[in-house]
Amino acid sequence: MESIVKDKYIIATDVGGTCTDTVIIASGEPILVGKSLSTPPNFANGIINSIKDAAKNGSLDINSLFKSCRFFVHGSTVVDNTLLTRDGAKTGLVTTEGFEDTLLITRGAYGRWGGLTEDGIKHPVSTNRADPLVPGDRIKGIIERVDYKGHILRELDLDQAESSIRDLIENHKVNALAVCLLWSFFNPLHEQKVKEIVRSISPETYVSLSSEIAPVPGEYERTSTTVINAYAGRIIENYLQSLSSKLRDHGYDGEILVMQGYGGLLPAIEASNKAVGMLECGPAAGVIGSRYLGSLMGDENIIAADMGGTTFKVGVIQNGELRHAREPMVDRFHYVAPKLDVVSIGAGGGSIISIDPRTNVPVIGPQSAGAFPGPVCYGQGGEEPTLTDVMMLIGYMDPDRFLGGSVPLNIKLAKHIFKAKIADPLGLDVDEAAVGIYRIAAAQITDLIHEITVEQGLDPRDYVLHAFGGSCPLLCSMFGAELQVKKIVVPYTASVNCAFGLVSADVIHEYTHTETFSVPCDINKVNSIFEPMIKKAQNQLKADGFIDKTISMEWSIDLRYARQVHEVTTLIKGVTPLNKDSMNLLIKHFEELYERRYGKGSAYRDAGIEMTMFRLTAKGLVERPSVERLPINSKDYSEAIIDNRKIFVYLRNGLKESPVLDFDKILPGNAFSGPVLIHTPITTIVIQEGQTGHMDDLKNIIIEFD
Amino acid sequence: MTSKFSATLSIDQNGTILCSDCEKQLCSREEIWKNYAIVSEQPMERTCGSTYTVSKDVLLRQFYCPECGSLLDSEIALSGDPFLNDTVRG
Amino acid sequence: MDPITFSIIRHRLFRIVDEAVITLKHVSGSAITNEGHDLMVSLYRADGSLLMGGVGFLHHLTSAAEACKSIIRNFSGNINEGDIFLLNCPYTAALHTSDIYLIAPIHHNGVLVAWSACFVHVYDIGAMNPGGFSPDSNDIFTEGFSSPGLKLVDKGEIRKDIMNTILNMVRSPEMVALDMSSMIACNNVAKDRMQSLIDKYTPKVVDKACSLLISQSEKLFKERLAELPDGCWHSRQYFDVKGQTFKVLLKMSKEGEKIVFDFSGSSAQSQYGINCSRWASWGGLFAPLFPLLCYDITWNEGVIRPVKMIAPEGSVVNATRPAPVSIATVGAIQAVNNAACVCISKMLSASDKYSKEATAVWHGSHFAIFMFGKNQRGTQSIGILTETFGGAAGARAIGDGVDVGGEVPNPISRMANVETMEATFPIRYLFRRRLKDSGGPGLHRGGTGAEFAITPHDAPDGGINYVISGKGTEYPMSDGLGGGYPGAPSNYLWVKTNEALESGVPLVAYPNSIEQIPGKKEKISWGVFPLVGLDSLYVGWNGGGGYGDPLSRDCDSVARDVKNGVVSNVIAEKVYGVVVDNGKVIHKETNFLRKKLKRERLEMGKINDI
Repeated sequence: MESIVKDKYIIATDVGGTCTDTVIIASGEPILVGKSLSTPPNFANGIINSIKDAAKNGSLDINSLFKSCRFFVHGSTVVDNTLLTRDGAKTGLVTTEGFEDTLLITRGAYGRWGGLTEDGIKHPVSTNRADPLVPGDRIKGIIERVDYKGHILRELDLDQAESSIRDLIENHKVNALAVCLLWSFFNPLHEQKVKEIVRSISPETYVSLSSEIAPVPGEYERTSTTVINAYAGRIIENYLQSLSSKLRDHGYDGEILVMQGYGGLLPAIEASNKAVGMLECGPAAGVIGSRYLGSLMGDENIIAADMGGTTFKVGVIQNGELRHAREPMVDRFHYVAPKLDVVSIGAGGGSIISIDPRTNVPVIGPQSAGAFPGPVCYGQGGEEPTLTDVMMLIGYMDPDRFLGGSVPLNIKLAKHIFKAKIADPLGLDVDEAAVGIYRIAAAQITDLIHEITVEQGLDPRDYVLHAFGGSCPLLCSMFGAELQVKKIVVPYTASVNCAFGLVSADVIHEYTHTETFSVPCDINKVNSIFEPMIKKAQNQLKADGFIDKTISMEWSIDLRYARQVHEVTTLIKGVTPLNKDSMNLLIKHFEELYERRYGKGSAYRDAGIEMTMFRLTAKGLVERPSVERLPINSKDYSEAIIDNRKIFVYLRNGLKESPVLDFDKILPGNAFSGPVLIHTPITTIVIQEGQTGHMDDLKNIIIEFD
Repeated sequence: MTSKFSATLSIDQNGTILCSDCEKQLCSREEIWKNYAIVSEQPMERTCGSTYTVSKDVLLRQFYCPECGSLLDSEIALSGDPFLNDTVRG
Repeated sequence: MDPITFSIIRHRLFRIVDEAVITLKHVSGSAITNEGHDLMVSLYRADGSLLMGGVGFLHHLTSAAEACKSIIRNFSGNINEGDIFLLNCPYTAALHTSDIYLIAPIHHNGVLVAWSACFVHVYDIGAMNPGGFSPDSNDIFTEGFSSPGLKLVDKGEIRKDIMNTILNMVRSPEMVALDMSSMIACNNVAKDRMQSLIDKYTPKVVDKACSLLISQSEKLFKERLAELPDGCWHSRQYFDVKGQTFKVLLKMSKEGEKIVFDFSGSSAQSQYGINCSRWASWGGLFAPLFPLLCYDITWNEGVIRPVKMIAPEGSVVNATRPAPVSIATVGAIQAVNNAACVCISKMLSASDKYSKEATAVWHGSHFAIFMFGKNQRGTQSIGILTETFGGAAGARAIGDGVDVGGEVPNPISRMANVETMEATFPIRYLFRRRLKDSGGPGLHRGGTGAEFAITPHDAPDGGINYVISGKGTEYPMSDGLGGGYPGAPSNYLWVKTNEALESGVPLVAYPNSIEQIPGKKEKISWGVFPLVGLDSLYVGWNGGGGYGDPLSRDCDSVARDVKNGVVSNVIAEKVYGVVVDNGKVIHKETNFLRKKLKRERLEMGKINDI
């Protein structure tokens, strides 16, 4: 497919909490990777540093790099951070009179227990709602009413609305306004009028309308989403503007494409209108990167796992398709926006190990030692044993070669503290206890992945496991074996996976329309719902610089069985606009999906099927350079062996002397039998007994089971 | 050193029940402390306002510290109901 | 047993229960299951003792254990792999007929190793009134289908004769069939996962882990009891049904590692279905006990062992068959919940170590309102007003109660959006908001309840009907703690606007408060009522109890509550002694007022002395 061609490079930068990662790709050239510390609040500095680091690895000069840059692709946690640090705008809320408390009462206890773990849920007396982003005195009810069909029952009282808005702006000094009226997703007229009023009073006030940000039924979630958007809106606008001017200073005046939580890119100008879309875009990029890597390797079913210092995150790709989250939350606030489903548990390298004093059972996390003081073995004053310390005690980390030898590890101290705090209370020796903790960590991860595969009707044996992040390659051979995945891939780009995901994403605009139809229905009526969305999408994508050939439209419809509550978003795989055949195919796919997701016998067909939402996914396909594949060498890996060490082998439930390899000395084609360890500049890859590994032509390490 | 008897009362080492606010000694733990407190009984609605429109027989019975006037306990009662007498043996 | 394997198996058991809950919700299509979380799934040992209780309606954990034990007794020699049993007789083990238990033995290599059990509140049970709560029933015989145990699935095959018989006795059989499917699927998932777990770790190891899990809970709970002071605490709950008053009295005694709940002195059983069978009261006292005393202990048989209950036969907490019990779960069982919550919290308050765990009563009274009739799409439907799951948290030793913050016995409930309700039923909401002055005053304020009004909208029949089994209107049920006031009672009003318009009262098209709705306001609480034309139904639901002395409450917090519309100026002054103007504390007047109120309290004593 022919795509817009401008220049040579695609530069992608992902801003995370600690690090800013860069990936640069160009046709016929090796992938360049860069890393530097994030620099809040002026993130643009860290971005430039990170790009410089990558450019240096390719012996490029940053200014000439930018001059021949085709796209700058960007992902950032700035919106998530704004919420976590409560750093957003002073926000007001305008809603329908009589329903001012919707945001505050969070559908009852839902906002109190939402986002809690088992421990919190079982202990209601200790739990509270999060403080709302908009306090009660900045919520104004206005006179208007629309009914469930979108009919205006009561006209908007313009005078009363104006005085409410004036009160918020002039007396409460709000500089952002969220507007969410009942049934506005059916009839946005009143919300639009409110916006006009705000514009006329105070053009500089940031306004978010629920009918634009989240045009879906359910006023609590819609309000919450609109409030988050208003709260973070100005910040993301300024953030992207300052990034754009910084890039301009370095000679880049092209498009900035910004990653969204659903795994697609939006031009900066649109992204800045929809802050809520950027939530959790990092993990989404990770899944997109995994899908791209899978496509290069011919794998369509992938479990994408990422484990860093504090959390273990995992998403599932099924037949190359991505799954969307049902009830997303950010910092205990519900929101509704298309978002890839990535689940997590608080288990990472820095997770602190403790013993429950009452039951004498070891517990991993949820506290983390963080970057400072970090694990005991870092010798920075950490006094709580962590998972990283355990990895070292079972032989998986080399005290002298950690992060290329830049951080010498104190194994003696780690052993001493682990013995006193963990092994002795358990009545085990250090090796036994460390091995036990490692097994628990692997079991908890296995349970989490079980939750999103087996419990959703998917068989992990059909899946390839991708292991990303600094900690995942240490554990993946164990839980991968427990799950009996097809094979495990530790990608070459494992340390900069989110940035890698950015270069592999397309521009995606999502449009929705809510209306309920019973099936069978007039096919023309359905097509006429999509028509205006398509027109809008085409105009938008053309404005983004795409041409017909690089534009693709996907239609999908949310369907449910009448009288049941669960909806399933079903992609229309047949021809569009719909005809009788493609409509029948759609229904067939829905029934299959429903049974797969909710189990056999879960459908009640007699009351018929209803359509509840119509979705258009409009893609502008970004042409990517072809990835360079390296020549394959012999299987002999002896050149790469740098050491022999006793490491934990789970099949023996004990330690065994094993070869240690240096990743940088391994050549594509080299193959090895476990147990074996591979030290990379950022992590260690463990291959267990009964497993074989090799390096492929993209420098990925592939682990397979005998 | 005192330990807790209830949310509002404490017990000292001699087993005497005290008001936690003003440390007024009410009685020994073997006795019924409510007999040493000021008792007020009023119709619910009169005390709590219109959202408490209930059967007019319902009384809000309250016990105050005779020294500082702190509210020590509240009970919902019908006229003639005995006090709810809790004992803590420690 | 090695602590590593134990930890792994424990986590897996928790996941098994969680997955089974998700299966239940996925298959059952009803709002009461999906929004209200009115469900339960648990695992039991081969002898029927509770192994791992899930987070659902907690009253059911113990009674489903009894249901397992009853099936074991009655079907001895006839319990086979693939069987699923049904039990919903409240006099055998269940709480009320509409909460059906499906109980499944789990075999491994032909040996019975465990049980799984679950319930949902089924769409209908064929009682006199639709939806399960049957205020018009005066005995168990009119409360619908009731079985002390039957085999629904025989070696993996659904017994069609039995299923068809059940479905033949209920309204909306297709929805009840779906509820049944959801429970069958749920048990199948639990069975399948338990079998995989045993395959992996061997029956011996899993059995050992399970028995350790129970003995560990017992040990931990006994240690906690030993840490708490010995003593005796009392609570008294009143509630009203159709003009009659009922009382639940509780004396809770704790001695060393034992705890006894004695309900002697409670009212004789009622002619209405608010009674509890013995199993309902037993479950009702555990519903707050698990989260209040065992928040960090696995909820199983080990927690049950140190607890004893005395409940007089023929009373409202231990009714004798054939007394009606269909409303038990929103009737006397809540009085048991509340009384147990109060006594446990008083005991916690008497402990230096655990006093911060104490809480006033949350959401003392549910209001079960089931709407039924033709909806805007022309189909007959039955459905609950899910606002009852919105609840209201009691104030706690650590702080205010959460407004509309749920309840303790059902920790993860929620209510539906207004838009969901308006799309499902032919009704329109006039308003839905927190109810002013409903949170019990105190040093820490009880969470508010809320209020809403609905009126027919686009109803093909001009309106719908509803069944209400409401109590808690004549007596507040959310007791305060440590002097804190009770939360406000509930209030149900039928506003007769049709009648008013006929007599010439002008229409208010969009009233925004109960005061603005024209028409006579009739207090209702029990029975079947119409909602037609321009009439409306108003519900104000109870707030949580307060904690401590309101005169000690931080003045700024009172001012904030006034500013946010959850406390009136009248109550701010009269109960809190705080004068608020324009959202700000007027300090001079407040100091004066607080002193005056304290003085009045002391003077009251002087009058008594005279």
